[in-house]
Amino acid sequence: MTQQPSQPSRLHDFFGAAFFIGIMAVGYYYNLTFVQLGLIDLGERVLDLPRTRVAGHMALLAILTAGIAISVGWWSRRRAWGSNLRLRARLAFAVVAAQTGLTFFSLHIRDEAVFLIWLVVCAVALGVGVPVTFSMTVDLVPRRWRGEAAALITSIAYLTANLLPSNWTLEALTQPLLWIMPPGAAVLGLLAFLPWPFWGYFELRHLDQAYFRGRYALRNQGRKFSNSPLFAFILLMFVVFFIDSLGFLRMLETPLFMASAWQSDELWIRAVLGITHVVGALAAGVLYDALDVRSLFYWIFGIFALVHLMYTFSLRFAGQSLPLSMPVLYAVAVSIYTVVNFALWADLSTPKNAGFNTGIGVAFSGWFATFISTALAVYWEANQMPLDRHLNIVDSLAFLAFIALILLAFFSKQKVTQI
Amino acid sequence: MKSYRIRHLLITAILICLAAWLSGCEQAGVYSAKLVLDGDLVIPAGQQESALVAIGTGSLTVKGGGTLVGDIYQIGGTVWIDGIVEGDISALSGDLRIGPTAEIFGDVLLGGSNATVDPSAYIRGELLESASQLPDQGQRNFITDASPGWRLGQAVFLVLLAAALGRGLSAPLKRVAIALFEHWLPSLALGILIFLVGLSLIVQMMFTVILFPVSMLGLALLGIAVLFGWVAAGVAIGKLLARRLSRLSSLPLQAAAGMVVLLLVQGVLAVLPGFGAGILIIPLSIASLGAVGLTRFGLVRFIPADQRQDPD
Repeated sequence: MTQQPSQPSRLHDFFGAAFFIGIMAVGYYYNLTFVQLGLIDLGERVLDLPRTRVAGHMALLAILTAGIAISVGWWSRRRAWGSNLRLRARLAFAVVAAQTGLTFFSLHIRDEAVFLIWLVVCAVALGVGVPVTFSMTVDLVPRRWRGEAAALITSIAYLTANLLPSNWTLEALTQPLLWIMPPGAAVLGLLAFLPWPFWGYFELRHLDQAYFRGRYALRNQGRKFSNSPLFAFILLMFVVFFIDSLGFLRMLETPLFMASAWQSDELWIRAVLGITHVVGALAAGVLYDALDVRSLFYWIFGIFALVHLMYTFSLRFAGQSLPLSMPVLYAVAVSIYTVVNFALWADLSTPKNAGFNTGIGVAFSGWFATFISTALAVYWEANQMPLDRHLNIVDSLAFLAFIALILLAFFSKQKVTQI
Repeated sequence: MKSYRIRHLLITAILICLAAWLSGCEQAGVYSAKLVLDGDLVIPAGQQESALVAIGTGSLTVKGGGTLVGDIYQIGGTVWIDGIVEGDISALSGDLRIGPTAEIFGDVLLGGSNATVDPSAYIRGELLESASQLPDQGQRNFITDASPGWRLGQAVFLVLLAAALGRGLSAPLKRVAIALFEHWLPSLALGILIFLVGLSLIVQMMFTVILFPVSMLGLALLGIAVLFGWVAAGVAIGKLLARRLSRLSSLPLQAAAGMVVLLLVQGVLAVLPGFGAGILIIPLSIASLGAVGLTRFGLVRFIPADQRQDPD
């Protein structure tokens, strides 16, 4: 007997979307603060390791996470986890519980060998978490809401990350997480393991292709599914993450930039940046639904190119302080690409391949690119590459990506015309 | 024939308004400027230059006995003042040296520059370390504080512009109006991006000094886009009015009537306590910018991506 999708219920859909937004926002906040900043502090300050060594460990984490995410994604496609939402919810609970334990344990690491073992376990949790949670988009968020859902995830994560904590030490970064994660894990456990009536509704929702099949996967309906858009977007997102991380860490640690940006002691500066992230994310969420996603990539690369140019320009003139407009613009670009990252993978997928697509997409473009570029940035800094040269390279990459995208768009249009 | 005469009259009226507006730009020589990009601009003793000077990587020297009438904006390079400056000096970066014989008849803002000011130099205004020390000029409401004649002139200009554009560019205006009112959220979202990025880009171009004229063009383009969006909003309101008033049958009349309504609402909001014209002007201008962007100045019809027919 063929299974039929359940009748749409707006209330259930809202609940499903809210559940997804909650999980992803906390997950992204964890990633933004604890993983990206906390680990560097743990390695450098707490364990007193040299920068290059920490960079190497970060690269190890990246490669492991990417490899595990792809493997789990592949396995999920093979085992048809795409049609078993409750199993993925239970796995998500296991991941959150493990991450809660890892966060608590991180405060007690005093040895490099323990740090390495801890990193491996951390990579496993992250690698399993990526395909499991991202693929839930296909079951819980209707296609037309994906831009807005991604915008809310981005807004909540960045606003909180800008307001909390006040400094970027491991202790300060873990504090809010240890408040949020244990109750969050408990709620997730209760939802995942108890026989709630809504599971029956959500487990069949992905069969309603009119609502839940991805926007770009929809175009391939009725013919063999093409992987070329997936690989093109993986490449684009890889470049975006790479450019962002390559310059960001260096900027964050430059005293001239610190006072007027994310690490400022002034709450109002961080609040302005947090609100900018929210505005940028909401605008991107609306535009994600309204425009072709390619136009958002023009904005992302264009803004990155402009803002790095502004940073290098201000360095050349060596003023006493920097205007807030630069981090504001940077925050807008970051918010746009984060929104695209949260919505795009599910929109390239069908329920069957959502786990694999999100696994490979986030692993390559997010984790791999971020940590490889962070490691490269740390390596350059350790080798005393001047700041203006560092940012010049980032700026050049952003300009190149912008121009390449324009050329690509031009030639792809030519091809269509020929057909 | 009649329509030709009306069009002719409208275009003539707009040209007169534009000419009057541009002629106002001549006042006090504010709109003439000298850009020093490279090399040296030297004002020797006994010579007088009248200009607003912006410095790139070159240098400006006002020798003892020389006079510069106008402001100096320094964005790098070197400025040496030993003579007279009848204006303000704003040094954002670069090297500034004010010698003992210098006489500055304005404020000196040091900003991020590497400055040396001789104690014997005469500065009539204030010597400020940063822009935050600039005297508070008080908040000015450009709508309520402007003279009634100026406000009336502006309103007449906008209404005539709406009527003229409604006559000559009816199809593009309709497309922008549809984007603005039926897809106001994407318009607002895109408007925010264009506003933030556009302004940053323009300011950045100004700082290069070489691209100063291009940045002025960019600013003008943003202004034109906002104005076009406002006229489109007028068209949409005029169409609503036309459902009640049969006399408003033609698009130019609808555009003009809609613009009058918009200006009236703006005027009422400006004088209402607890409100301000900004409550209408800011979101409408930003959404206008976005609607113009979505429709490429009304050249294409905007259809949201999720409503487009799938080519496959």
